[in-house]
Amino acid sequence: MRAATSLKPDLNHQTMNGLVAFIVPGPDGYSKKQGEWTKTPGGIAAGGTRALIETLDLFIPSTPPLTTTVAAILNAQATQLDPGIVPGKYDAPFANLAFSQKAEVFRRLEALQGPEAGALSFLAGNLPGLVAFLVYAEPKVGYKLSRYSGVADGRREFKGYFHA
Amino acid sequence: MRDVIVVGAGGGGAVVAKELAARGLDVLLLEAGPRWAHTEKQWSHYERKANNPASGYFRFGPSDLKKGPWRRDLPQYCYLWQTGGVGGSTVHFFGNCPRPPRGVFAGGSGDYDPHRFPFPYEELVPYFEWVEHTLPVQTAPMGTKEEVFLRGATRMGLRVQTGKDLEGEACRAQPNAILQPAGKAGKAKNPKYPAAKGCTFCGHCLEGCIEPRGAPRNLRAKRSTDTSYIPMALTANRWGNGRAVELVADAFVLRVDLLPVAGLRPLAGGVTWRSTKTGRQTTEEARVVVLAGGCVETPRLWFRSGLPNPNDRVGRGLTDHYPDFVIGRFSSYTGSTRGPGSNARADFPGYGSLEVMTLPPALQAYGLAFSASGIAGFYDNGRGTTAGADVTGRLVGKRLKRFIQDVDKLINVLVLTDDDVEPQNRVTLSHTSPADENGAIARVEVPYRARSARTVRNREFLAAKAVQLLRAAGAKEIARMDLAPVVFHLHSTMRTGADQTDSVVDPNGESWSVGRLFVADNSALANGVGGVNPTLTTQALATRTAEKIFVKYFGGEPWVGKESPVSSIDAAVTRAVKAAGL
Repeated sequence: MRAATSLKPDLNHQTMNGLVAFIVPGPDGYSKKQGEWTKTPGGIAAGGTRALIETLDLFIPSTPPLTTTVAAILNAQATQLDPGIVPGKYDAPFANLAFSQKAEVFRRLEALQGPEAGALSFLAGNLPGLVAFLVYAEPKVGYKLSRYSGVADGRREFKGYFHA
Repeated sequence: MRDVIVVGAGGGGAVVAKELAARGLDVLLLEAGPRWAHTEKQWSHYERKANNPASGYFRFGPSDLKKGPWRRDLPQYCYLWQTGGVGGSTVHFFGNCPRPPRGVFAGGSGDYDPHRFPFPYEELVPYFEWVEHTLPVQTAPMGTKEEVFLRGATRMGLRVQTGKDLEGEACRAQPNAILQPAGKAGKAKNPKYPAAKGCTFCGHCLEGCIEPRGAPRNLRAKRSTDTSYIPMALTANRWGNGRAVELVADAFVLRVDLLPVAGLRPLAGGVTWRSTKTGRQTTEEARVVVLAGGCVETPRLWFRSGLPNPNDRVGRGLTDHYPDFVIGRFSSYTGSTRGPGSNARADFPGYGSLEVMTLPPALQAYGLAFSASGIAGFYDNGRGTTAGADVTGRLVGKRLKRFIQDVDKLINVLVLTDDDVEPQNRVTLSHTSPADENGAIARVEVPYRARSARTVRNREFLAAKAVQLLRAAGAKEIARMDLAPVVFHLHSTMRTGADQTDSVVDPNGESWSVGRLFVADNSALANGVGGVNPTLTTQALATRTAEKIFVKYFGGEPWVGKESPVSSIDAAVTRAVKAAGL
């Protein structure tokens, strides 16, 4: 029982899973919970959650870690949007939202006014692109999803010079 | 005492250092970031290693990647895409070197008053030629995506430009600071020097050029300054009759030290820097100081040093080309991940330019999920102008996966807007974020919803042209991102001008308010150079500034137009680079 409990992702991890599934869904539980999922692997299978947490916490080293702050912001918005969202499948409110509700969270964050709006707008704006980057940078899943041939020192692509 | 201290070894500082070293001056070149001396081992083709904003070796930060990036205060949705280290942002640039339109210079036509360059275009042409030979700049070769782009451009009626000077709306192969392919380059998957020379079409310009493998440092395909001007600066005593530059990396300049002069403007007398590895501070004197830390760090250093700002122009007027991104999805192979960063372009003088762009999958996905127009299908932040595209806003979820399901069937068109110098776009010191180990951090304000009517008009015009081009080329679906500010072309925060009340440096690049202090990076540009890639103009201007310094403070004679430049790929330079063990 104790081992099983320790394997359960914490609130931050659940929230980030919910975010990664929102940007690049797959066949995982978080994607199915939001109602938008695919048969092909998604961002969670690509290790996007761990990469996201590591990137955020290194981007602005702080106490508490930036991941905790981001998770708190997303979960606060989720609870405000749907006060009955917890209890649910996940402890993290954001991870329980439907796909369209997650989009609404981002709309609200981008629409905020006031002294903190700039920082929140920076965060909310950059999160989707950052997740997309991290997922598609991962060779096993990201390259497969985009049918990228992989890195190389050269390509057979030189076709000559342009003449009108 | 040094003759000259140059702060910043990027696109502009490396040029000043090399040119003055070639004249025999004692030049100290300080760089806050790392020096990549063994790039074949230190760099990688993997985007996650190079381009991660926190841990990537091209983030703006110290040598120790575990320490994360240096912070900036960014009070809006944006991404500031700069690199630290020797070579500056040229290490990840595309090498595109178009000349700017005449209109942005004194006596030109168009809506650029009062922010024109304080001299006519013709005065800078010899400096363009000097830089074009030194780098060198060559006509870009074609791959599949260039064929597709130029097919669309010519079908929409654009004529083909053949000369270097802009002559109205036209398309062409890029003039690139990238060596043309020879031998097995562009024809093999793992080519090595000397069987392959020049660009190998690997598709990894954004991760830094290490091709062809085994080539001497000055013969790498892409002519970022770490492969062109820096090797020449470090060997100026070997390939010519100059004096080798002393380069100190991991040296963050904390302040410019002044010499007070009774009754007159103060003079720059040296700088104090901090080792980012040991924390030790060092002060050194010089007869002339040149600032070239870029559009953010140069004004930051200015403010931190307490230098005069009598007209409140320091840091103001940031231009960024208000970039946009239009992507077409095709039913057949386009080779979008292959070849140099951009090998074909279309220019629309008075509006800006379009260029086809190579993107590997992660940066491709990033670009598809970065927009000021909200999330496609849900909200658009009151924007949502498609410019004729099928969709606008961030692509997320199934929509993103579907669009990028075959990255080599996309064509990316980058929109570079001829944007106005506007005072609200600015760099200051942050009063809300804590200082870092190098002092108060920079605050960069680029409110994307408050651009001038002309800037917005130009961007919409170009986005519509990009859509038109992609449709003409055969795209079956087009997304217009309406990018939030991805600030990678930064200019004009320390503008040169003829009017002392509306600029920071005079027409020679010297500060109006501090003598012997010059600016020689993108920040010295008078404007956004009409929406073309800025590096060539910055390097030509930096060459001119170096000449002005040599004439005014060292009693020398001008050399551009009188001597023949030595190319950075000249056999004498290669011998010098090898002999110096670079």
